[in-house]
Amino acid sequence: MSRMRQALLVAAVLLVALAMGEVVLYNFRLSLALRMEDLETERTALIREREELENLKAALLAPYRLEEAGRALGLEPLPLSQLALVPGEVGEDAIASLR
Amino acid sequence: MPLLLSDDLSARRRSARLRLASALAVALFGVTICRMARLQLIEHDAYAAKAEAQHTHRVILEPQRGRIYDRNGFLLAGNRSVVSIEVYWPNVPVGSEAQIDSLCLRLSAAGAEASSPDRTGRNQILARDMPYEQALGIISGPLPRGVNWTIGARRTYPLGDVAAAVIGRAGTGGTEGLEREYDGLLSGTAGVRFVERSAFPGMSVTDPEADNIPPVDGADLRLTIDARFQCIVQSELEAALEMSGGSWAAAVVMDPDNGDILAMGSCPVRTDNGSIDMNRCVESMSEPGSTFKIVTLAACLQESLVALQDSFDCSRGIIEVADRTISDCHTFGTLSVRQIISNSSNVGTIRLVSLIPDSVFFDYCRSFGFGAPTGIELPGEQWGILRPPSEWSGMSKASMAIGQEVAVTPLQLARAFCVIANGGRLVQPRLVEASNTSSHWRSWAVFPTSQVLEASVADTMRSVLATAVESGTGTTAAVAGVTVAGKTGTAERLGFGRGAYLSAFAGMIPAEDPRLVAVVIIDRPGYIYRFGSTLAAPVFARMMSRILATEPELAFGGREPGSQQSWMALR
Repeated sequence: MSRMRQALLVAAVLLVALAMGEVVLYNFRLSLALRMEDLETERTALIREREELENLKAALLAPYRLEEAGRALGLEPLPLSQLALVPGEVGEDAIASLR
Repeated sequence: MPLLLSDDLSARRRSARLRLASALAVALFGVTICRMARLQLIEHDAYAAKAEAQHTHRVILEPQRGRIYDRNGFLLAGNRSVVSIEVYWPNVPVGSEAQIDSLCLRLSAAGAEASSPDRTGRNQILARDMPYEQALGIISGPLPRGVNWTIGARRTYPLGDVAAAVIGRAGTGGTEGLEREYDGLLSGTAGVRFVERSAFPGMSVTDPEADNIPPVDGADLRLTIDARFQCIVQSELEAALEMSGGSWAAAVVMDPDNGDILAMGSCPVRTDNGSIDMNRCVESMSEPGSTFKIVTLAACLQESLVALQDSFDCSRGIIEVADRTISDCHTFGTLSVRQIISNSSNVGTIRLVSLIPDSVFFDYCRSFGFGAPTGIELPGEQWGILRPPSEWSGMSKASMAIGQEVAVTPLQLARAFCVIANGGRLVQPRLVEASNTSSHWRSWAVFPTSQVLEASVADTMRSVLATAVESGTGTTAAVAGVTVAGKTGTAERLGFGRGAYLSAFAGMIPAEDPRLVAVVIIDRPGYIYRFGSTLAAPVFARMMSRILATEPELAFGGREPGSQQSWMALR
């Protein structure tokens, strides 16, 4: 009889432990899922922000806008007759090659 | 017979009842077991699915549409998040309509086109496609009961309509251009997420054991187009069309070495109803006029039928072909082959083409890419018209030699001039340079080319075309600081009545080692602008001047592979 009681006791303890484990695991899983949701929301917001910034950058760097801005500042492109292609980087050697 | 005692009787009865109860219990237990077996084993899948559907719901995850960049990484087509806010009137408590009015005022103040509340319907959209940044201040706070919001994505084109003919448009009203051609690649694949329902708002979480599939975003594309050149080409075309009163205008700028299209402009951009008009560079075909004379010259030189110094008598200024007379616009006298092309003599060109057998001339027309699609990655490309010799009349060969009785697209013409620019190779034009999937760019293959002319013949032709710009019909195409080779074209537009012409110019810079080939075509301009030299050639010159001001090293020819060069201003 005492063995039967011992066995029942062990089974009960195991069941309680398993139930406790299940509760802990469930909560852990829930917290991870909520964290994942938060990260997903943050990721979506960052993607949106990147999109907006990319659109803004494109609008600011639009060639026709830069050309207009340059002209307004008096920055006309040089005529080709005042340009020369030189070997390597622009420097003393390049200037010497033009002489 | 022994008498039964009442206790014995009672015990026997109890025993019978117990057996009956036990049998009933066993039977009930058996039924329960059977039922459970049915539920758990036989109908398991159906009930599991039903339970799953009750505590989870499926959310479709839209992929992000791939972006389109120019060759320098400038964004040509991007995405923008937009918010739509709607009210479901049955869920709005009676008497709290003022909160919806207040929300509409806030939406208007935030810049949205908010519609005024109207309770007659069930669902009402209060604001549609509101920029996310504007909507954030409203949707992040508490909203009245019955009001919901959804986030969507819309396509943006930072350059506006400047590259609309090439890129096209993606949206609910249909897809065009590259957006249509590569829709499968750009749109990506939608994903699915299973979310566990919760009675508490904000506590719905993804079911990790479900078959969640993440969305696969569309691939980004990097085009061969240069946004700077595209802006120049499009603005010059618009100005030319407005000045000349033409029907349409188109221009293509290509890299002759690999067929990369650097700019492709088409005017008008939009039709009267506001939709994107056709891309004239590939969808419109017309008579090329004198620009087609390069085929006659190429065939004669390649087949060694003439030399540049050979002379032809063009003194009458007219020539009879099959009972019809074709004339020059001036009387030239005796002309060398170089002068025939540089002065664009119809009589001389017809004398040249008469030296070539029909089938050989036709083969040269085909080998320059006429009468066949170029293979450009755009929908609706026209093949042009090039009839085989079996369908020719007595006039046909002479007419074709001067660019009549054939029809070509501006892109086909640009491709043909690339043959002369790159040493005799027929390149396949391309618009997409690379695509980006999984965060790394993969370059697309350059298509193989076929050798049409010997390099020496191409060099000779370039020198003839340079003469045309230096002292012939194309002097108005000259660009200060760089040598230009090119050919003007003036074609009668048959079927459009008298006085309908097409003004064309096709050329390349620098003439010695071309880095750019460009074709400009303006259809049916005002009568005074009808010649290629009076309209298309100056437009070409302005385009090239501005392009070279943007990228001066293009004026200095091809650079040695691996060499480092810089340009500097001279005092």
